[in-house]
Amino acid sequence: MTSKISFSKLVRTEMRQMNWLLAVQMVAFVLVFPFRTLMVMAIRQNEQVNYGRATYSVAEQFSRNVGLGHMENTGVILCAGILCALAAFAYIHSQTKQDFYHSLALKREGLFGAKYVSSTLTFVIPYLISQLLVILVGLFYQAATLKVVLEILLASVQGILFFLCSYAMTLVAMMLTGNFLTTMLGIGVFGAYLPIMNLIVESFQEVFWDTRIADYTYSSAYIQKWSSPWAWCMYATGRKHSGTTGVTGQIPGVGDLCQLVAIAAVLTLVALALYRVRKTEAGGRALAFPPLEPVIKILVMVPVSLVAGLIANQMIESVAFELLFILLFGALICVVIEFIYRVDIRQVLAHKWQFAVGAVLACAIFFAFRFDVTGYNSYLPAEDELQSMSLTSYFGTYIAYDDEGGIAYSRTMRERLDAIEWEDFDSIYQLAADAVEIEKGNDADEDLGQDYSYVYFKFHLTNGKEVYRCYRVNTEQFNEVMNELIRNEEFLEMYYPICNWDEEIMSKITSIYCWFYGYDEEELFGEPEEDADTEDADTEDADTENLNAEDAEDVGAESELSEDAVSAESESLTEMEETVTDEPEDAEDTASAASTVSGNVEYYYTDVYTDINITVPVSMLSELVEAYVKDLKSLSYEEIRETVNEINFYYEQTYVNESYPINENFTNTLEVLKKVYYGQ
Amino acid sequence: MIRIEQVTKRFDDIVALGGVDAEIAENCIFGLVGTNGAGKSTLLRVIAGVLKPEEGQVLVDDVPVWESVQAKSRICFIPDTAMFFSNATADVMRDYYRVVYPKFDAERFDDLLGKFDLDPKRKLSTFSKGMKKQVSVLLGICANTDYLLCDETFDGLDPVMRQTVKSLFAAEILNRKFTPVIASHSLREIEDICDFVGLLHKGGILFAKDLDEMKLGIHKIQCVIPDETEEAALLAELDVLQKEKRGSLLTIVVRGSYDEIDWRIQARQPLFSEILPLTLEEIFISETEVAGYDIKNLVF
Repeated sequence: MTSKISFSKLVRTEMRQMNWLLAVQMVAFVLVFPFRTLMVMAIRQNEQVNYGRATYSVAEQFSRNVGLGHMENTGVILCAGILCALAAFAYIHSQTKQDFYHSLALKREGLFGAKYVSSTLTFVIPYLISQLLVILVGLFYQAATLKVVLEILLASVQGILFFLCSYAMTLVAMMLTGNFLTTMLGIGVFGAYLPIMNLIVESFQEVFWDTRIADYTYSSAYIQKWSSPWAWCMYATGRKHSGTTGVTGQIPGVGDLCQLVAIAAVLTLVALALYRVRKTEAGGRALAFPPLEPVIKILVMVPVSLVAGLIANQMIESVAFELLFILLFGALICVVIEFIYRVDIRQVLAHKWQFAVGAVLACAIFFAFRFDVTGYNSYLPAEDELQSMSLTSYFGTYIAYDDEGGIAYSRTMRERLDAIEWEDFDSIYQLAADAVEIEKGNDADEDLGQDYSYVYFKFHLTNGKEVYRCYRVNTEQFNEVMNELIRNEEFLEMYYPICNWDEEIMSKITSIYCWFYGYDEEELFGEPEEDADTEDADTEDADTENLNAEDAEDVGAESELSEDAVSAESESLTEMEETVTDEPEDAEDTASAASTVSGNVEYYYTDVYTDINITVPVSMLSELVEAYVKDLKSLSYEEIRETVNEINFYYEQTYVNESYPINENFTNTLEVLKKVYYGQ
Repeated sequence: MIRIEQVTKRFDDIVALGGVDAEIAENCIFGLVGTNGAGKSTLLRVIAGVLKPEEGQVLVDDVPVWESVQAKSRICFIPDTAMFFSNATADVMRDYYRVVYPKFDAERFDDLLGKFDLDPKRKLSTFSKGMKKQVSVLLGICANTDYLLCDETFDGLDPVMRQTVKSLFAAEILNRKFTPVIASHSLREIEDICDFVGLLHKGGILFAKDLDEMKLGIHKIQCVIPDETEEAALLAELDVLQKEKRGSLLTIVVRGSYDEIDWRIQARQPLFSEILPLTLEEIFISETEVAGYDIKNLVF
């Protein structure tokens, strides 16, 4: 009669063998979660009671220290995952222990399951207890609202999933290796290999693909996120700040949690599959699957050699030097890996063919980038393959900022180019073609001299492919092309969307700031009007009142503008007045940085320049836009582009804004600003 | 019955077991002997389901042992180096064995621990090698499995303990269905306990036979034949496996039936003739020489 081992009893017994691990985690989690929260709360309350300092309320303070979005907590959980996996499955590296465990009347899956569940519970139990203690701390400070408690509970679920991801990843590394050293290296490889590879590829593109326009929004972040379970967990942790809606308005949605479940499940299944096929005798070896030895060796050698070559390139741009570095460091890493494999100094030079393969691969990749074998830097499709083109540059263009988790995020060059699709692109194509010709030549720098601009191109091909490049072009030629293009109203509207603004867009704009860097008022607006009262500091309050009154009238006149917007603007101005640190005269006397506010004009002084920030009332938006568009239509591109000054239009109390160039050539716009400046 | 069928196990380029065939009958003590590296431990691990053979299989009552809960539940394996948890005591190991061997007899284990004068509360890491061996043997016996695979179990036990353990095995066989398989590099350690013996050499099993059967066909005789010509003629007639002469005293190990051998000796008019008890070594000499091996170089 077969006597089966009770799974639940086995789990309990296994847990008893890992009591030490449970105790270690209990102490660590209590210190990291409830104790830290308690300390932070106590310190903040002390500051509030004794010093009257309180950046946040008690409830806010509590919610900021618990729940989701804490990288340090995620770090601790990921480490716990590694520790638990190592503790539970360390026996697969010991012949003696395997003799015992594998002779038990259990299938491999059963033993795997018992170890998996027991070690996971050694994490889950102390982790959940610590989270409950956090809630108790919140209750003690009367800060544990339902929303915060809900977030803590969901953070706990997310934390357990982080644990499982890290745990299962460690298991995969353990199943592929046969001793502690290679397991730790394996964990490092799974956790960091692809992120590092991604970084190396990015570095190569950055260094050797001069004409590349980095794609920060899509592939890079996407690849980084999927490159390792750790990266995914860190990404998921950071999601709290991205404003993703969830149960509490901040937490990740169910989809995010499901993705974590999927990652943990896939890694666990991979680990189980490897565990089933892994030979018992693999314990003690470097790798459990010897056929992987050359593969891993080459996969490690190639990036090391590439980095060595890149360092050599940055130190001395010499092919011989680069080749020397590639081969030297490649050989070195091969020796180290062979030693790890064999633990025998006499065999470190074994398997030279693997070094040869790695060296050839590394050299091929490096010099393909180095000499642009693929022709990346001189890409130019045939004109008849193109559907449309677009171009832009850093000068004389508008920049849109989006709100990324409360941080102003400038749209990338790719996004800016995407906004322009020009089908009558002969002149743009010729500009790109000339730039490519110069790029192909060895004396590109001499051809261009000092007078060149970086111009960003997008080739939209008829097959749907979109290619982005940044070429250096002759500035005069670029200006000519741009002059021709902006005379076309359709292009102008694409290039400067302000030309196309309608009432709906303008109704969303809640504040307008105009920055002039290093100007004085006479330079901008000429002599002041006689009745101007900006010079008199006593009139500041009156100006503010006027402005508020004016805004209040606007609210009545323009129903689209919200009361909140006006009051926020008013508050903003009041705040600005309160932040006056010094008088202008004092600033000049002391020759130090200072700022002052006069009505809707703010000055920033240093000993060498003065910046002027004019806050334009929203009531003057239509007038300002009309004047600005009039200027754009009348000015040449050279006249527009020579500036670092800007007008910023902010949308609906957020960081979303659009910034347009302005300089002394924008006479119509300056006339409007002059009225604001002198409070007319 | 455990049936080993054409089992081959390789470790990289090394063939640890090469096509081993053997049968281990129930309710007897099976001795597995061989030199270091002969493949004894590997064979036990294969039988226990620890190692998967590249070729062949091990069957326990016709059930393949690999990944079979049914077959493995009938086996307990005591490896050369016993596995004890760190900081574990005999009590802790007893509790673990109770879970992983459902028929484990905890009361008997406690009783035997007392008889062996082993402290159940003392950390096993502080025990001597022999004491650890005793604990592991007791755990194995109390697991109450049908088969107990012991790898070098008597190595490290003092003679008294060795005899005690042998007695325990014998008692178990009398009381229940129990088949110990004892691997050892020394014939002398197991010659007085085994019913069946298998000899492993270089990954291959040379033979596995009933010890009593082997004893029937081989005899050790001491005699004195005054005439050297007669003595030479006698030796030529007999199937002599081993010969030693001290003065006029001739000691020979001879294959054949006792009656025939005695008749031939008496025909040469000896001054003195008697049968001596055979050691396992001497039996092995005969069997392995038949197989074409010089056993003295293999085992002794």
